[in-house]
Amino acid sequence: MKKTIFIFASALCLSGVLASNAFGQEPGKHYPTIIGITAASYQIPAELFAEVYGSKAQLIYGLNLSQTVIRYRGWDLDLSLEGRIYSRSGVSTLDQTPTKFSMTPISLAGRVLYETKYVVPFLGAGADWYGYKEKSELGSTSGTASGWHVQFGAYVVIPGVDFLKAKVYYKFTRVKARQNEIEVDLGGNEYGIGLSFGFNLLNIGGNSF
Amino acid sequence: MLKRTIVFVIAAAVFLSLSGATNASFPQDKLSTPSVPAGWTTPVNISLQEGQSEAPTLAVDDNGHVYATWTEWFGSVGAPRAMMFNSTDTAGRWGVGQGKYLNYPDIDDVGFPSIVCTPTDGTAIMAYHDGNLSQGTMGVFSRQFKNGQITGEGFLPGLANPASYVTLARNPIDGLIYAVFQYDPTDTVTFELALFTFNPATGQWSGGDLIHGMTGSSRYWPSLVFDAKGMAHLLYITRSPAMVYYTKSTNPGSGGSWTAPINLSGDTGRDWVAPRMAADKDGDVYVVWYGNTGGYESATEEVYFKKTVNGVWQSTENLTNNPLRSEGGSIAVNPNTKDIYLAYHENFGGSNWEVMWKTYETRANGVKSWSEAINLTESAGHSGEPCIKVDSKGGLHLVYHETMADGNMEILYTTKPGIVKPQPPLTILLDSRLDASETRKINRIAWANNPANAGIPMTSTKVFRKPAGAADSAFGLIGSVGPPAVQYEDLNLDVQTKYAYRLTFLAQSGDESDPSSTVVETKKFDFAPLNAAVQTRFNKILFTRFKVNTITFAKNPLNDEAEVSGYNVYRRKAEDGDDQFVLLTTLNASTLSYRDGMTKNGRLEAKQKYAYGVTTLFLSGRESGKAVVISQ
Repeated sequence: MKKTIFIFASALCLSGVLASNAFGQEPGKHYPTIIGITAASYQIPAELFAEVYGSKAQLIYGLNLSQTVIRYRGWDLDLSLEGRIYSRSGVSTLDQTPTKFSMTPISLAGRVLYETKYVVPFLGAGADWYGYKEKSELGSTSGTASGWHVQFGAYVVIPGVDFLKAKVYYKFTRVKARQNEIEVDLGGNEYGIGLSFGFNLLNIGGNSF
Repeated sequence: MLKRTIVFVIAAAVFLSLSGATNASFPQDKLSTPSVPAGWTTPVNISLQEGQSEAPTLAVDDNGHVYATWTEWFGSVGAPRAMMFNSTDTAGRWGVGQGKYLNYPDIDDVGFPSIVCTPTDGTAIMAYHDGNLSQGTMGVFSRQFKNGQITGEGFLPGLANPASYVTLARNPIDGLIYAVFQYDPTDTVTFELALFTFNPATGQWSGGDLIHGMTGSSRYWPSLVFDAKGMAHLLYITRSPAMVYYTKSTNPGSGGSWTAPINLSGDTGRDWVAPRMAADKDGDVYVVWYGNTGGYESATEEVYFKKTVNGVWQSTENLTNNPLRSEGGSIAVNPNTKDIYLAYHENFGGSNWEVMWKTYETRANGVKSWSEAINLTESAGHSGEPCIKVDSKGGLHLVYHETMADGNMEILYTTKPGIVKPQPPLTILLDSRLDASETRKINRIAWANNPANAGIPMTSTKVFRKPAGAADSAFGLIGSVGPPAVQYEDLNLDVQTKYAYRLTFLAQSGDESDPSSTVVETKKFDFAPLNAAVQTRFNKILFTRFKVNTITFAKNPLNDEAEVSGYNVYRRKAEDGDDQFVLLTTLNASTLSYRDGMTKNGRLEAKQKYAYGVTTLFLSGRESGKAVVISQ
C-alpha cells in the first residue's frame, strides 16, 4: 500500500512538473481555500500495538480544510485542519481473543507553501488530538490523547482544471495515549495521496505582500 | 563291690585276641527282624558279634549320626569281655563294631560303658571302668573316635585310687565333655563322685573336683545330663536300700557349686537301681527309675517317673503299675516340644522280656498324657536294656539287646525319624515402598516361622523372586537371611515391574523345605508429574492486560500410562501452607499444561506469587502427591 501510494504520488508530481515545464514559471490562479480528501498508509510502530494488531500499515482516510492566511511573493502560509478515521482488528497475545481498535485523529497545522504554476510543495507542523476506542471481551477502553506532527508534500495542479489539485504527502505523528498504566504511542508514519479542490471561501484576495 | 587292690591275671590270650575278635564281621543272615510299631524302622543288628551283646547305650549328634557302645561277653566272668563301639556313616549306614577287651574281666563289676558325642564333627567319646594295670587299681578308660575311627584312648590321668561307673555328658555352652564317676579318694571304699572334663579340641582330659554333698558316704551309679542352657543335672543313688538323689550345678567343674541333693525316690526296695534322666531346653528334667513294691528285693518292680515343671518337682508317677516286672527305664525328651519317651523292659513270664514303650504326647483332646504301653519288640527271644535318645529333629533312636533265633544276644537299633525336612515359612507378607530416590522401590518380605519346625536347627531362610507374570520356573534365589530374621528387603527394584516371591527354610542338616506359598506384589505407586514449571505472562490487548501463569509438566514415565486418567492442578498463594491448595481444574491425560488467569472469574493478582500443585489421577480413582512449583 505504502509503495503503491508512493509510486502514485511520484507519478503525479512528475506529470505536473512535465506539464508546467518549470517551477519558476508564473504561478497559476491562487485559491486560498482548499478542501480535500486523502487516503494514506498509516503505520504505528509501537511494539505493543504491533503485538496485538500487527505491524503492517493500514489505510487511514481523511478530510482536510486549509486556508491561506498570508501570501508573499509566491509563498503562502496557511492553516490546515484535518480529520481522519482509522480502525484495526487484532487478537490478544495469549488466547487470540478478538479485539477491535479505532481512532479519530484531528490535526491542526500551519503550513508553508510555495506556489508555482503546476506544483505547490509544502512543509508544515501542528498539533494532534486523537480519540480512540478499543473493544474486546477482555476489556473495552476509550479515551483521547494529544501530540504533534510534522508533514511535507506537494500539490500538483491538474492542467486545465486549476482548482483541482492532487496531493501527495508524508506525515510523522507522535501521540502518546495512556490507559490502565499502559502507554502507547498511537502516532506513526503516514504516506498519503489526496484530491483537493481550491476555491475562495471568504472571497478575498488574501493578504498579499 | 570293688576290691581295693585288684590282682590282675593277665591272660595272654586276652590281649592277643583283641584285634581279631573286635573287628570280625558276620553274615547278615543273623539279622533279626522282629516287628516294631508303625513309624519305626526295621531293627538293624549293629553288634554282629559272636559274644553276648548287652547293655547298649547311644548318643546322637545334630547331623543324625548315631554312636553306640555296648558290652560284648565272650563267655562268663573271667572270659574275655570287650567294650564295643559302632557308629553310622554319613549315609546312615552302620559300620562294623570295634572294641577293646577289658584288662580285668575277672569280675562282672567292670565295664559299663557310657558314650557321648559332639554336635556336628563326628567325634564320639566312650568311657568305662577297667583295671589300670600300671597302677594296680580300677580306673576310668576313655576312647575317642572321629568319623568312626579311633583317635585316642587311655585312662583318665592322675587318679591314684579306684574310679568306676562313669557317666558322660556334653555341656552345650562350653563344649566340654564332662565325666562324673565314682571315686574313692581316701582309699576306704567310700565312693565320692568326681568330675573330669575332656576338651574335644585338644583331646586332653583335665582333672576336676569332687562333687560336694553327702561327702563322706558312698554314692553310686551317677547319671549326668546337661540342658540347653548349660545347667548340669546329676542323678546318683545311695544304698542300701537304693535311693535316687538329684543335684544340679551351673558351674559343674566346681564341686561346691552343686546344689544340696534331693531324694527323689525314697526307699526303692532295692539294693541297686539305675536311674536315668533327660532335660528339655528350658532346663526341666525328667527322671525315671524302678523300684520294688512287694518288699525289699521282691520281684515286683515298677517304673517310676518324676519331673520338674519350671524347676519345681512334681509328684512321682508309677508309669507301669501292673503285675509284671518292669525295669530298666530309659527316658528321653524332645527338647522343644517336651514330648517324653520312655522305654523299659518288662517280663512276660519266664525269660520272655520285651522292650516296652510309652509316650507322653498331646492327644486328640489337645491334652498331653501318657500313652498305654506298647510292646516294641514282641519277639520270642529275650529283649531288654533299652536306651532311647531324641535327636535335634525330634527323631527317636533306640538300641536294646535281643536274643536272636540262634540264641545269641545282639544289639538292635531302630529309629523313628523326626522332622527331617523343614516345613516352609508361613504367613508371607509383602510390602512395597519407594526408596530415597523415589525412582526405585524396596520390597519387604516378611514371614512367620513354622511351628512344625520346632527343634530343627535352621541355617537360613532363602528368598526367591520372579516377575509376577512369569512361570514358577523363573523363580531365582535373590538372597538369604539366617535366623532369627523373619524379613528380607529386596532393594533397588524397577518400580513398574511387579514381582512375586516365595521362600524356603534351609535346615542345618542341609534339608530344605518346600517353597512357601507365593506372594505377589500388588501395590501400585502413584507418581506426581515431572518437570513442573510455571511461566508468568500477560494476555494483552492494547490497553488491557491480565496476568497468566502457564503451568507445564511432563508425564512421569514411572506411572503406567494406561492407568493415568488425567491431572489435577491446584493453586494457593505462595506464602500459604499446602492445606490452602484449591483445585483449579482437572486436565485429561494428554493435556500437560494449564493457563491460570485466563477466565473472567479467575483473574490473577498481578503482584501476587502463586504456588501450583499438579497431581496425577488414575483410573482407579487414586491420586498422586503434588508436584509443587511457585510462580515468579
